[in-house]
Amino acid sequence: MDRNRPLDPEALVPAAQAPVRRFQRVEELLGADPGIEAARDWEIGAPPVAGDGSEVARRDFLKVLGGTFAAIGATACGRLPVRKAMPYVHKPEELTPGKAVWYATTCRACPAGCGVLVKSRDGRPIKVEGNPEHPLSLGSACARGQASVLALYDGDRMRGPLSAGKPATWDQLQADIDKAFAGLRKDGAKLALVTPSISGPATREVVARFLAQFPGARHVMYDGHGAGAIAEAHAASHGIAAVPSYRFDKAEVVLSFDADFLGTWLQPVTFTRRWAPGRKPGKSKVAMSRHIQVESQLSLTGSNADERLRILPSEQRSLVLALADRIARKTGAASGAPAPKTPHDAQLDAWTELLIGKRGKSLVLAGSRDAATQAAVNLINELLGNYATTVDLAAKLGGYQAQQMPLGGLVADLKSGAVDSIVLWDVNPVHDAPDAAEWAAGLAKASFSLALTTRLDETARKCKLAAAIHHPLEAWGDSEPVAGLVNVQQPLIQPLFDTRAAEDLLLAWSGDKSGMLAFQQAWWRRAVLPRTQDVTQDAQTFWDTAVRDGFVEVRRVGTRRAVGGPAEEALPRAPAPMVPLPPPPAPPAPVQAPLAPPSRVPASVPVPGLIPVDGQLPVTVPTEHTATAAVALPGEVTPVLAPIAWPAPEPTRFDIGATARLMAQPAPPVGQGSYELVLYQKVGLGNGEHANNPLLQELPDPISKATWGNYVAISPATAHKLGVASSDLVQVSAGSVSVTLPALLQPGLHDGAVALALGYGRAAAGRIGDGVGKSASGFAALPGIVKVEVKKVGGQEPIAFSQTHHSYEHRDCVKETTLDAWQKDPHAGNAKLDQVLHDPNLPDARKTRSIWSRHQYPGYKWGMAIDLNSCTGCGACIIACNVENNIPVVGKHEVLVRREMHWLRIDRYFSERKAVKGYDWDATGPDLLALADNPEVVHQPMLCQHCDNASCETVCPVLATVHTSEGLNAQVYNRCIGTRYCANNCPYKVRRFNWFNYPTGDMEGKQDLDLVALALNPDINKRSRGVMEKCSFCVQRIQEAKSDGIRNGKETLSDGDFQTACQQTCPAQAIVFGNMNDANSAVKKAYDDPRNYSALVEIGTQPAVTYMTKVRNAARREG
Amino acid sequence: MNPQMAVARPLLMLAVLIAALTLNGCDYTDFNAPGGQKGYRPLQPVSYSHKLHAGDLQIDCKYCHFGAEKSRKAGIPPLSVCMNCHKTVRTDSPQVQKLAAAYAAGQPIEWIRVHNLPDFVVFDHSRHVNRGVACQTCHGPIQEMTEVRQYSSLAMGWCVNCHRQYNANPPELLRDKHIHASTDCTGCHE
Repeated sequence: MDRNRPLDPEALVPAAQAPVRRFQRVEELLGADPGIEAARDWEIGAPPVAGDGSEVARRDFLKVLGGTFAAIGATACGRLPVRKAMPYVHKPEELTPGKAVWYATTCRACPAGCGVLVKSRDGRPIKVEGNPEHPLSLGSACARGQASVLALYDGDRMRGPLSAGKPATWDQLQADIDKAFAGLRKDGAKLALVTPSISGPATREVVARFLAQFPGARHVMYDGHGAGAIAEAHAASHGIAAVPSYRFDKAEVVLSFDADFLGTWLQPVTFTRRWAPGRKPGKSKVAMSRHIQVESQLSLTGSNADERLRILPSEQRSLVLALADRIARKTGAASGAPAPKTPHDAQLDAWTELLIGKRGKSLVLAGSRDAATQAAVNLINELLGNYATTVDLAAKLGGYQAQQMPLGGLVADLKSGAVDSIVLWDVNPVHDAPDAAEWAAGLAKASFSLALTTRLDETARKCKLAAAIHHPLEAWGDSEPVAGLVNVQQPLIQPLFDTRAAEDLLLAWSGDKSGMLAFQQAWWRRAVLPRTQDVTQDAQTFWDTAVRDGFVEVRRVGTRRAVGGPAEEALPRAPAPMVPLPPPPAPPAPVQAPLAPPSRVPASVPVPGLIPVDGQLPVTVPTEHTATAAVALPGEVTPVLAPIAWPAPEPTRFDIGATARLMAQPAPPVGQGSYELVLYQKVGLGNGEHANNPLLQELPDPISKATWGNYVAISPATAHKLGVASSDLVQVSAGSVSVTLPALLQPGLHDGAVALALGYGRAAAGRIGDGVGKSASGFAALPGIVKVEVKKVGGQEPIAFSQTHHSYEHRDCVKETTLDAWQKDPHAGNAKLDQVLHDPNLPDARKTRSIWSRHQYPGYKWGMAIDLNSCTGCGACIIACNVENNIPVVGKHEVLVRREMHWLRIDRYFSERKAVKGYDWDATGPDLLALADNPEVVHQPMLCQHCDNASCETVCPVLATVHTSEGLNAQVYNRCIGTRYCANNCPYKVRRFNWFNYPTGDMEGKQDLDLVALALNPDINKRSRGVMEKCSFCVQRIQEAKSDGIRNGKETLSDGDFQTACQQTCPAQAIVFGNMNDANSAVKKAYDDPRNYSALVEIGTQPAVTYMTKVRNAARREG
Repeated sequence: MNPQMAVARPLLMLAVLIAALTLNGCDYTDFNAPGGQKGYRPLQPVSYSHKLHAGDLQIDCKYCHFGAEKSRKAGIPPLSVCMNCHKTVRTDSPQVQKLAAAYAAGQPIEWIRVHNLPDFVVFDHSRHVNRGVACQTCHGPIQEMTEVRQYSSLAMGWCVNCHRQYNANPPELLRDKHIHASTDCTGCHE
């Protein structure tokens, strides 16, 4: 169907709807920032900033010109450089040069434990994607996961061990460690091991064996994510100290108190995959799920909610308790909890009705670190019958076992000297613990401190010894992210630097020098194989299958009491050493011999023993001999920690008394000050562990669209009251803690709160992450609810926004409606014009008036449909696109002058209906700030629309951008001479110009380009200076799929033969891509849906990318 | 500045410029023009003869260049493929002894690349080979070459010409399949 129609503005306004006012920045409402409008006059790139070195004097220009002539003379005379072709001596069996091999492993960018497939080209891992067969990721990955491959090639990783801050050999380090451990074997109580959550069967055993040498030593699991309160509440309510799995797919109502489950909370990819299907209004007109978010700061999750209530952080607990009380009264259970009055009683009553109507099909969550709040949430879910349906306590999350602060008094013991030896593995409390300063002081007092770490971070710098460990893509390991799902982590590349696997080191210190691979294989045979369905299978086949698949689904281990042993999982209520260990069977021999150095092989040689996803399993003959030979465990096999008999999970009984006691805990203190402080984590950076990853620093915040640094988020009304404008420096202070940052006017933030992102202001992240933003962790150390004073200090600091760089000249690209309206009319919200175009009764001639001759697409016609209902704005597609297409990172200064290179951006619109009625459409001023108090949000991915009538193609003077016979708008880099006419003429502003030669010098010299080059996709050109670039619909994937099809006898590609990078990773499955000439393709079906529309249809560009109208499950707000 | 200098300096600069442009012109027609590398025949570290192996002995091209059917790259065979035969065949030849020495040392042979495409061009061997395009169509009578030379120009015009000729008059075998040789830019430029 064709969409080319003469312009008819009247037809564009849906008659049945009140006008909607959309804005991208609050400044547009205020009319206060002329800079935005002025900047829009510069279509691409900003005018040169005075003093930034970009202005050129005439004489300098002539000098450079002369020099250029000389350079041409000097260099162009040579013959073609001789290029060498160096084949393998022995080619690895599964590898064909030029073809990618995919390996299954586990993503370690956060504790969620998604299974991923990693693409390896000629031995180099270059792309991480979700494993489609893995139950948690189902093929998706988040922005952090997509970016994690670049961390492998980070030049700021530790390149070898350090002793007292100086480079040392492993032998020297080993000697120091041996000396310390010899003493500790007699007095183990002086030793503590701090790790993140350890969940893998083999890894847990490695840790247990290590600790078993030191009777009385304690093991503390620590992370910066703070899910400990959930475990604490479940310890009271169910007797299981565990964080449960949440089944958003079974919930028709989701009520979330400040849990950012689509962005940063627990398992965002899994939760998004489960949440998104319920958000699509189906053909059967089954109502969508309803999502209510109660929060202070506008989170990614809140921006996707149907209903959102702004509250103060201090109100949250009383609201949850009041809701629990209402539900208890309605369901006839006596809660025993106090029933405080709240200002939101009307909402609470409505939610009570709603939730009780959806018993067993609802889900209530809280992101709070307050155990009483979490206990009340447990009570609500219990009363609603949600346990066993939407809350699965038996499927506890293995990645979130960390204890609540203060970690059993470990820091106090360090400072008092009760613990004087500490080993920290892959944790950074000196940066991300609330009591970071105490940690620094404690570590300074320790006589022996050893960090097992990939980078010389804040904690490693305070330690006497730092052992450089492998990146997860270089090491074996395992994890059990959800009870009953055991992941394999396998190495894809030989170590790039002089590092060791942490598991190998711990094993060696326990007297087992065989390494993690041998140990893991043997331990899995013992501890995982008996938990599988087919316990009789051959051990080698079992292992090979597990490595190929990347995971094994097994029976869940009993969550309460292991047979004949101490409570295995339950954390002690009182702060105490974590797991009391039985004495080891025999004292292991002290480690004397130095560790064998890892063989130094070129990095391009894959690691032996790996089995690619589509590879053949090695043939094994299941004889007794083979089986034993293959898995013979070096040394003893006596388990230290895990029991061999696996009890089934016990049914649990809800302990209402203990829950009520926890709920009745005194409320946390509220500090002194004018505004309550919200500390939050960013979708990209987390708690700061990814600060040195430039991809994530440049990923725009989904809500504020700011890159490179944090800021003080203030609500527009409060900012107006304080006389603060965007980018004004403000000081936020609470007592002696203060931080000065630029202000950002954040719609949706509570007027009585200000918000600060954690994870910034790193002191020892690396060249890229150091000094970006300021650290807000000082506030995290303050008890209870922090209140702060906010004061304008004078001066400004620009925030590097990515949005409002690209103007549509006030044309509206977004369409939205409500569920009620959509149920009455599936065209609701969609402009009349599109309805006309979809009208089968109209002759085609009326729809196809155009002065251009039409393109013919005899074979394929590629097209894309993006569902605005599903898209959460998480940004995974942006990073997937960056990694797939070798898109350069440009740095803060270049973003400020609007030269970011993202081919795919996500436009975020705030929209508000209630105040607009009768309002002057173009008016601005402070009265309009009411629009911004709690706006609705739309996220719209915007990429090259591959228009049939492409504005860019008609203006290119050198035919560098042309239409292909398959509907692609091709950009031919080697033809481009950089006039930038195309970008000027593009109505969607999706073209990006290379202002610099990024392949040879980018990021202000902060990256090791020879290392970063290893991460490049060899199927894609790196574009050089002066060349325009843009989305290609992943043409390299199209071409590869075609070649594979030809080889395999499949002449015509269909859905599933390949996916674009953005489509592949989308956790919400919002993007559909395929052949529009195929009547059975998903994209053709989406295109024929009444919700489907083209952005800026009125200008007649006929895009190949279309969108689906956003439908909200909420009554329209009336003014 | 004296008047003589005022004249002399621009003249001097002009002379330098002319010299530079002259130097710049050397080999221009041979190597830097599109397709100018036709006939390139570098001296290889091991004097391997395609005439002997592919011509006289009739070893299938894909025995060594096994990537040609599977991958964009036909590939240079790993040393282990050479040694499949040369562990026993002609071990007295000095050239084979070079191979054996490299093999024993685990060092690859540093062959000189004959066919060099610019970085912005993608050529997919597998697609052409699986469509029945013979190696000789582009590589010429390779079975007669003692030393490999670049037979075709490999310029864009040469590629596109073949694609157009194919579309105008598809070969008998593929005529019914409606197979189209792409002349889209994205066929080769990604």
